[in-house]
Amino acid sequence: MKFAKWNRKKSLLDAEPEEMKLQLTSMVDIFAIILVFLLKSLTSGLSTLAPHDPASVPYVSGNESNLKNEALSLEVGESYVSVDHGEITKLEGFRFQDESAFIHSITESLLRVRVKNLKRHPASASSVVPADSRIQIFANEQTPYSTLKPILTAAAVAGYVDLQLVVSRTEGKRK
Amino acid sequence: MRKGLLNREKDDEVLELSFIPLIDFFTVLIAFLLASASYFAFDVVEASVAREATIETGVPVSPSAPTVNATVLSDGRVLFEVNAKGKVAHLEALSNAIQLRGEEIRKRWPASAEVNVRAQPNTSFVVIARAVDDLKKQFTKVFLGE
Repeated sequence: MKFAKWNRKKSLLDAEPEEMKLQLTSMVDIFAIILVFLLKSLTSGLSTLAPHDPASVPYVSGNESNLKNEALSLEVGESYVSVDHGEITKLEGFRFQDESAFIHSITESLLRVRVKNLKRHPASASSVVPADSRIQIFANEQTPYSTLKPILTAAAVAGYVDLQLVVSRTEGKRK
Repeated sequence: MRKGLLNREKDDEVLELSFIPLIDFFTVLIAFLLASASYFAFDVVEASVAREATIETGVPVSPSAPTVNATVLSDGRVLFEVNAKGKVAHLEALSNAIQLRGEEIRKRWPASAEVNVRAQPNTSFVVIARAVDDLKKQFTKVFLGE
């Protein structure tokens, strides 16, 4: 009789629902991976600015930050001009051979990128101030105005009229 | 009573974290962050490309508004030329006083909200960028490349 009672008690205990256990290790693993992907996909304007030679960007004092939107990047180095990290024209000590050919090659590349971007984001073409009119100029701090001027002319011809001159605000760079 | 105490002990069992994979992942994360870190704080100085037909942009240009032209010299000095009602005024600013001169121009000719910036052919980009940055603090619109 006592034995039967004991058995009944045991079976009742067995019927109790089991406690849920979280597998914390695998959960932490998954969240760590997600964190990596989120960090990778988090493309603020700052992280996308990647000139070939960041140290050549001119230093300008002050703490203002106007870095808002991404824009087409045009880089001017001592020996090259590149649009969107693709070299389009060679320079020799910031000098070019023929000015009209120089303007033409830059305009052509900029127009090609503009058409490509308009196809990708057709909405920007209809807005009052098209996002497409912005261009970031990464120029070596020693670039003379004689080289810069035809580049600005080419940008204007291609419809890039809103300039963003990329500068460095890092204090240590001041000369 | 004794049984109850035992059960409580079972309930209070501490959840254990396996730290080895955690450390592995965070080591990878640190390496990744170090590789993708930006060591230069970039910023942009906004300007517009100067062109003859600024009216095309839709910005109304008052015929009585004075025109301000600034020429950046290779040594950093800026020569201002203010054309107001047919009278031309010339002003000069040293590299460290561009902002002050700009402020003075804005006070004397309050309608002058725009400035056209040009430079000597041998003026370097760093000098131009600093001048544009200073002018941007006084004028609402800075045109470059005329």
